Amino acid sequence: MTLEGLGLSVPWFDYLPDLWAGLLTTLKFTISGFVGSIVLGLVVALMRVSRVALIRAVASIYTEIFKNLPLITEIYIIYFGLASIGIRFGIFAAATLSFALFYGAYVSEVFRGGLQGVPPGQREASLALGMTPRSVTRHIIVPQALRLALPGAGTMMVDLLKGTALLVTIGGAELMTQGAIITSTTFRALEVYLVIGLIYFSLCYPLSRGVVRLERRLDSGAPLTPSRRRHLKLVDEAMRRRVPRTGDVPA
Amino acid sequence: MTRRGVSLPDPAASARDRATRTAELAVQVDGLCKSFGTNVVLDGVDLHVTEGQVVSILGRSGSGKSTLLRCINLLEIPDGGRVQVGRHRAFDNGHALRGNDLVKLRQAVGMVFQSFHLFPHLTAIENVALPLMQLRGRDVSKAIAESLELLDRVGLAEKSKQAPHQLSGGQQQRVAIARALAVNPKVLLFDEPTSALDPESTVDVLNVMRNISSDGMTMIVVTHELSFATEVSNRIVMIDEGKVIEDGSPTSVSRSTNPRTASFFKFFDRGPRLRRDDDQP
Ligand SMILES: Nc1ncnc2c1ncn2[C@@H]1O[C@H](COP(=O)(O)OP(=O)(O)OP(=O)(O)O)[C@@H](O)[C@H]1O
Ligand SMILES: [Mg+2]
Repeated sequence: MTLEGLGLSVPWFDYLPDLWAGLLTTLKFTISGFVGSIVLGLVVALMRVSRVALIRAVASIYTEIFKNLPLITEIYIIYFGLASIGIRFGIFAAATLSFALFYGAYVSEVFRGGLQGVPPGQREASLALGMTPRSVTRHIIVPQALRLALPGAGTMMVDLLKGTALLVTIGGAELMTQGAIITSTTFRALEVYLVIGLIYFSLCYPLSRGVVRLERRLDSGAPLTPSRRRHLKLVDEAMRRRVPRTGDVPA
Repeated sequence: MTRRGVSLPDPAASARDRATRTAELAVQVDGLCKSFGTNVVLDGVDLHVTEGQVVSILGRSGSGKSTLLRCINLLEIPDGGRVQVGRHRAFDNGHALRGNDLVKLRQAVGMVFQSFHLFPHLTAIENVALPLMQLRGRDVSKAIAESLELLDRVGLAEKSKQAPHQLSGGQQQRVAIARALAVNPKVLLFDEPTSALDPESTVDVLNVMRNISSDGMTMIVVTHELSFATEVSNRIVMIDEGKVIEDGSPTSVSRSTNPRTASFFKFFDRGPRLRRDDDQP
């Protein structure tokens, strides 16, 4: 069957390499932005629960500024604005920085919510065991806060992936830019952008479903880190070696 | 413990023997005072607990029982008086232990809470293994082997890989007890360990506590379970309005002529029984 037979008039096969390159670029921006925003967001969230008032203030000023600026404005300031005073970023650096700053503010809120969502009894019980405050934060509070933050972080990642489309305004060479280029030569805006939309959807939908599935698995005690996976494997071995006691309560 | 096919000597009696043999003090509380704002909660509480003793703390809601326990491991900082656990001077002369000394004190004092507070992001066995690795320097495989033994002791080895929310309340509390034991404490504090449980789970938890006490553990138990107070513990302390109003053997306290004590006992006389085999068919 030909493309025309499907009612399509754009020679999509010719554009496959461009679309593929656009897709990879979109993913590249998504990943760099995601890593940047997670790192920044975690640091800022921890700063916001710091005991030092100045650190808290710096963190909350940052969060408030970037929560209340449109992403596109921020991209323009960093890419065009700073360039006009001699600070030049390449597209990749400008995009990563914009996404990290913008979504970092968002992640810090999500993660702070996670930190505050861990019941106080958890800290109390671990302190009562004789754990040091530092170890309590690292082994008890942060892992639970990350879990609580997972749905929010997942939504954020999908939002970020979609947000990379804004890079069309600075010629980011990602999917949306490829769409604009194809449209400019074929003049088939509806068909082109429907196809581009379909590609975005097929990236985002599995991603959001994946987050939901991950949440469910974690809820049932599944390990997230390699070290926990190894521990649980050792538990299996230990349980196999174990001689059942006569007085055992049946499982 | 007939349920688990293990028969044990009367733990109360053996604990009493131990207590008289070695009169070492495990916990020493003298003139303990604690207020929250203008609310005077503890007003000069004295409590000396010898090694191996099992003390039940009774008292009305709000009488300061939890606060007393929490002052022993310094989850709450007292206002005055003295608290000593073994050789750890927890609170003395207005000075409370801090830093590494505080950590060491807390490792010597285990605590079991009414609402369990298991770590929900870890399986049952990891809840027990964590303190073994973090606090007692066990490597992973050793920690897991020991945790499995501890879970076995509370009858839950088969549930090792369950997440806390997949366990019943009584099972969670038994895991919490195993977790507290993992630190190898000298004293165990229980703050209403069965108050959130149905009668059946209560029996399971109380049986585990009875076993631990018969192994010689020093225990201070805030409870509303008269059956435990009278059958397992060898001493009852009643607290009212921030003061100790009764302190003696279960028999003597339950026969007390103090009207406040008497009314308390009358009120709590119908609780679930400790032994299920005594139950009506
Ligand atoms: N952190 C706190 N801040 C302020 N007041 C407190 C605090 N903890 C306890 N209190 C008050 O101290 C009093 C004694 O509380 P505590 O929890 O020790 O009582 P309790 O005997 O354990 O009661 P219950 O049987 O209900 O558990 C209560 O009036 C309570 O409101
Ligand atoms: Mg209480």
